[in-house]
Amino acid sequence: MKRGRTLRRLLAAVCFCALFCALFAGATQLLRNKDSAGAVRALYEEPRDSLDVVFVGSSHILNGAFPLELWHEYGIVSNNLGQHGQSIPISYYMVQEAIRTQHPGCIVLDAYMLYYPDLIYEGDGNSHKSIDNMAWAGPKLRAIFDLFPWEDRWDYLVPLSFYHGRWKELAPEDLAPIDTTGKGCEVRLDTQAYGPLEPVDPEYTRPLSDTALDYFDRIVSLCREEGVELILVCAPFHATVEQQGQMNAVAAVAEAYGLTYWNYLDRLDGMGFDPGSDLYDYSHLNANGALKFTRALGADLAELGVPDRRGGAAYEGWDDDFARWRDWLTRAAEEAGFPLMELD
Amino acid sequence: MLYNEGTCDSRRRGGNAGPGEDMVFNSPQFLLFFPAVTLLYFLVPRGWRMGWLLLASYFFYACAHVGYTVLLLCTTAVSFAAALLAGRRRDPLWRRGWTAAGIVSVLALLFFFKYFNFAAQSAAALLSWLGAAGEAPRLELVLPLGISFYTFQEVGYLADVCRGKVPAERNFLRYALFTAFFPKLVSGPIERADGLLAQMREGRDGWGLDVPFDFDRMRRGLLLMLWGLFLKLVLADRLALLVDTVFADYTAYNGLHLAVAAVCFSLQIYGDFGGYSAIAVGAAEVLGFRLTDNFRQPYLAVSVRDFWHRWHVSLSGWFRDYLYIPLGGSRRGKWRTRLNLMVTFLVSGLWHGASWNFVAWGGLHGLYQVAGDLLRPGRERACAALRIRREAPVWRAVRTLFTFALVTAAWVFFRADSAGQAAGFLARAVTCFTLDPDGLTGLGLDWKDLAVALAAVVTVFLADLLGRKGPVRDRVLALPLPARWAVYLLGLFAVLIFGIYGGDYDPSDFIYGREF
Repeated sequence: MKRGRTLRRLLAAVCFCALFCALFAGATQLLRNKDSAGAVRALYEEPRDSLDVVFVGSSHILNGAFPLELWHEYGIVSNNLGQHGQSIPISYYMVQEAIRTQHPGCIVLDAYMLYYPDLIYEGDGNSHKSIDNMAWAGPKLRAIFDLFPWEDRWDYLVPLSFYHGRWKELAPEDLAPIDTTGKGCEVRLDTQAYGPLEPVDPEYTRPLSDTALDYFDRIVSLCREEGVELILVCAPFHATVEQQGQMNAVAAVAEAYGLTYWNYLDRLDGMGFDPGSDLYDYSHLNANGALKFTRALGADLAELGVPDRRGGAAYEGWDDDFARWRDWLTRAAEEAGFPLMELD
Repeated sequence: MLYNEGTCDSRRRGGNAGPGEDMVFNSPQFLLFFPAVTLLYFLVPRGWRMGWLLLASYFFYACAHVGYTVLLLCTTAVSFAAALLAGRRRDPLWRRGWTAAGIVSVLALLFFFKYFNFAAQSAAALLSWLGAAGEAPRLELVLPLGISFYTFQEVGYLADVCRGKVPAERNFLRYALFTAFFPKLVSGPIERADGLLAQMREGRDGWGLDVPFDFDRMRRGLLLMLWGLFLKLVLADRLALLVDTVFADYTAYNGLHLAVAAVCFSLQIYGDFGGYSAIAVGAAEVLGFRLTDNFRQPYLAVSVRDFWHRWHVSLSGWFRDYLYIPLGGSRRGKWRTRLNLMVTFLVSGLWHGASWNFVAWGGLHGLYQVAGDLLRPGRERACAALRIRREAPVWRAVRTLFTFALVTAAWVFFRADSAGQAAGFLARAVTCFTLDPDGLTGLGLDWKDLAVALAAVVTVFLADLLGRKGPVRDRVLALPLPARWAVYLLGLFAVLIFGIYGGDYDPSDFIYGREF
């Protein structure tokens, strides 16, 4: 009799906990900030070990590299795992996640944040965009315990504690699925005109961050252990003299590690880049700049030997994905009144 | 919590309070600590339970400041020894002597840590007023967490032993647990030896160290803890945003804003301290101990005297038994009774904080009661002439509202930085009063937060109304399972979604930014 009651209570407690957990997960999902969530979530929509290239890094790469344009022009299957304010330490864990889920042949790392001295970039918001959208697995947990002081870890382990105040901002969009149309990239549809970069001596360098270089060293080691080719890139932006010096300094770092480094600041004319029409702001490419950068990047990747997967049975859906992407891009440009360059 | 003197004081003075400031009831650390302690408590052999709880309690205290565990241990040892020595003596003189020695020792520590700077500055101000120059010495002290609470508990225990009301405890570990029991260590309730210590010694009415795990008791305790978290996180910490905004610069607001802020502080402090007490009582209940129910629908009181039978009950009882009655209570004539009341409430004010505004707050409550006593004959004659029945619901509601207004006005002295600021606040609330609601959403809470706060206030009010006829928990637990679960889930998600926590919120820093 007593045993039966205990069992009933135990069963009820388990059911209650299950119900609570389900509602808790639902509330977390509803309340979390969905801005830029697709940039990381898109990775998990791809079949395991199906990608050849993954882009990792800051908003420079997030706004600059369009995976489905690479597919259309070069047959390169890729995903953009960049995120706003993604510091090199966070990129290290993103590289781990890319290898865990996709083990791509090549990882393209945005070198821009190598100058940044801290573990995370300017407050929690940006780090949450990266970490919160990672799957619950080793890389995420290691990132939380490595990068954040113990009093902040709770907010990453239980994201509701960080986002619960969003009940005031809830909108119908919070019920919509996360948009992953661009396979991780984000598009900027506005223009700020700038002049040409101030000429800088190629030998002129500025120091990089020790913290960033420490984590960069870990990225290099990890990629070598896993047999993944690591490529450093600097996407075009309206770099100051000091920033050009930092990007020049990356060349020496790449050389020391024997890595490929493509600094597109040095190749702006060759890729048809126009600072008067291709920048969203001083630091980010707009859609037209990104299309030009993606084209140049694709050519370099193809030349490096990244395979053309067009026509492959495993990639049948990519043409449909591309059609959806182009449709979305043209419609979004129209709505924003953005003069999108002519697309083939 | 607002009554958590130690933490607020350490913050104010920039003292190093250590990582454990986070081991407050509304911290994530406590969410890990409490289940772990409870699980092991019921898993270890019964003979080890006392040691385990004592260890857990000292760990809880050490998280706030390791050094002050030594102080806690010393004051525990002194009061234990004094009570033991007093208890062995039959000669009243010796009994009183040892008791006095114990009380003076523990109160000396309280005075040193809490009142030394206040006394020195007050003395210097007095001398300066009399024309004598002098600089008041100031010690950089961090007020030990909960010292006012455990000191008063020890004093009460010593007095009870001296009176022969309880025997002196012979087991030091048990007495140490009585003093340091973590659910009530930081902010009470202030327990008595014939209550908690008796439960720890031989068990009482199914409560104590030897009771087995009880599912129903755990459920009741957890429900009370959830209610406490609702009061604290949804009500008190939300209203604190408005209260802090207005009190930071009260001259920038009109009378309506000030009145709203004053009412909000009344509700905030109830949510804050009532919430803390509910968590404390609930946590103890899960472990099998019954603590004093510290709040009994205080804002439904129909007089200030009634209010003090419902607010911080364990402290009111302490002052009644160990100060008011020894002073003569109501046995020595009307004027002596009134004097005793004033003394008791002035000391109570001083206990709440080493500052003159707290003394003024206590004095105001004393004056309310003295005035109430003086006006009673006239009031009763007026009621009779107007044929007002004392127990008529409308008359009770009027009295309740009037009492709430009096208590709210007094709380302004409690919340203000000084008695002068409080007086200025109240004067401005009257002289600049307007019914224009413009700007109410600019007081630190937008309309959505105000709506949530209002919903929380209505919930608390209804719960208090229901609570007059018995514990609301009993009603909830008597509901059919789906309704019961709905209540649990509503409570949990109200706290999780509408609570003020997480992000940059620091439970101790946010609420303890004042000196008490």
